[in-house]
Amino acid sequence: MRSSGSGGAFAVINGTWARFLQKLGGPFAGDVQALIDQPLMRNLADELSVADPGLGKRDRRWVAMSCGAAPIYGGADTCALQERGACAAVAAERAKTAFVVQAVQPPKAAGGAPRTTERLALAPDWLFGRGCLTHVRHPAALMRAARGAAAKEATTCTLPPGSGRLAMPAPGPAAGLLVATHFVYSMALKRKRTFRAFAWDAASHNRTTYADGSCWDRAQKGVVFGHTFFAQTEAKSVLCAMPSGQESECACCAGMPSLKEMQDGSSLELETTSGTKIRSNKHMAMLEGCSDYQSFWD
Amino acid sequence: MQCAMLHVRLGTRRVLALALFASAVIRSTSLPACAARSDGEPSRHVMPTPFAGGDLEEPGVMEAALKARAPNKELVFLSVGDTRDHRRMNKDPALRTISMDFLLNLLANFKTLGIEHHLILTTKKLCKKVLQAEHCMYNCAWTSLWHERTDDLKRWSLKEGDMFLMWAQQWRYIARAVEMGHRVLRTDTDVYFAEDPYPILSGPLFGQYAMVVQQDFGGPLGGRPTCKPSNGGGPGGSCGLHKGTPLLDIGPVYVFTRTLTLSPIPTPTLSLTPTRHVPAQHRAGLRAL
Repeated sequence: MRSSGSGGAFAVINGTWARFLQKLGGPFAGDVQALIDQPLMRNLADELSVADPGLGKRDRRWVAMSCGAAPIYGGADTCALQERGACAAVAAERAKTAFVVQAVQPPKAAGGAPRTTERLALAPDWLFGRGCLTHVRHPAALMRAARGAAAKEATTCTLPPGSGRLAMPAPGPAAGLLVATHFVYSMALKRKRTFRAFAWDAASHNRTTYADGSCWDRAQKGVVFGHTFFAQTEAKSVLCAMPSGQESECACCAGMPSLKEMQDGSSLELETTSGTKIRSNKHMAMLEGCSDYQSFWD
Repeated sequence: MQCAMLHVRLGTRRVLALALFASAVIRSTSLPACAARSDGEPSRHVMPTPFAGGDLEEPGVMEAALKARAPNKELVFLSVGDTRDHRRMNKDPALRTISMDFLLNLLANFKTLGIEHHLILTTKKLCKKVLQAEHCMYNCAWTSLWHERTDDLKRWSLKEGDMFLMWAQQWRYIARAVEMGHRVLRTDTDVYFAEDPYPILSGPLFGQYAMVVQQDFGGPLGGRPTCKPSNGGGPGGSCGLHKGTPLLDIGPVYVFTRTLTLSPIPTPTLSLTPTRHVPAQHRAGLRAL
């Protein structure tokens, strides 16, 4: 049975614009960012939260839930890799993740209208996750330094699926694991370049591919992709080479072990979107697991 | 909240009559042949029909938009402001040209997955002159909502089409769509979908939640939520109270509001911890552009 406006989730979204109107009609708060919808919705979710004995919580705090508690897909659906063994590995990795849940109830209404408590979930990061990006110089040299003799075997040079209602997967070892990745904390040009490197740019023309391992030499620049989900995976980031020119090419990528210790050496040269060398020695620590909000806005 | 109640009080019969009128008007509009194009590959999702556009505040237009664009009561809602917005130009000037690229890329991403049931809230100019005229996309609408509040908008230096205004307007329409029985996936345009999210959002694990939202964590908010192996596989999957400060990141939001019977889930003994203070930069959060 659908809610007709009596549910807690509806109250959260409906209250967001109502709070906006309240603020808009009030005095200027010194910064137009006071009108941003996100904190308004966050506050509502907090204010409308209630105890939920069914979740074993006696107050308004959030409860952690295991992704391993129930199947992720129903019926005949399977993961995007569409291969039994690969999907089993994806399921096993996702099952290790936790997410948080809250119960929300609408405020009391005049006339005692019915109020329905509903549960909202903050998604596990493999479902809705945060991605962080940083440009890197000389990806071939970095690949050799980081992976050594395993460089060739670790490389994937992937073309988008041609049909079957399948999208280009996440790069390298993240393929099949990530569903929706949000790049809110990276500037637009870096995001655009990254989408080309990942073959996420939906180009209509054919892409060029390379023999195993040789794609690293095609470009002097690459991108390092950090993701909140990589905090639990063996690969702590994914390195991809940029295409050699304006033409779209295969996504030339490999999972990376932690590169934090390499930042003091010569193999790892990070740079901003405009090409300035990044000198912060904490940058990789923040990129791995995408644990910082502001460091990637360049 | 009161505005929503007023809207409901307009009367169902009047709204239905206006919807039928608007629908007839829109059907009579001659759309180019490209508006109905399809790649022919079968999709698990019901395909929408072209929508000629309109001001969602005009009687019946919202209903007509939903009828065309969300034929199975499933809607992807996107909003794209006017890139002349001075704040966006100063914060990230490349958005002057890249913003539309990202929208088009996301739409192509969705199309690859067979997801075409989207509605884009934007300005009349971007809808008519760009999406429709340049890209033959009949999937957009605009709004005059709150534009009469000229003193308020001036006080906050807001113009029609500003993202700060459109971000609030979109929730008004998403709430209306939910009231009308639709399920709504709202997403920023800087999100990439590597697979169709619907089998997961409606699957056994997440289909029980009325709303699924991205989580912001890290730094003073605390780390990723965890389940210890000792209780992570327990009945119902509850692992006890989360010790961090979970915050919604509304870049991707799925609203599947429905009446739930909250069932008991056995849990281990819970330890209570105080809510942490959240620094200002995390309380506000950035918004995608």
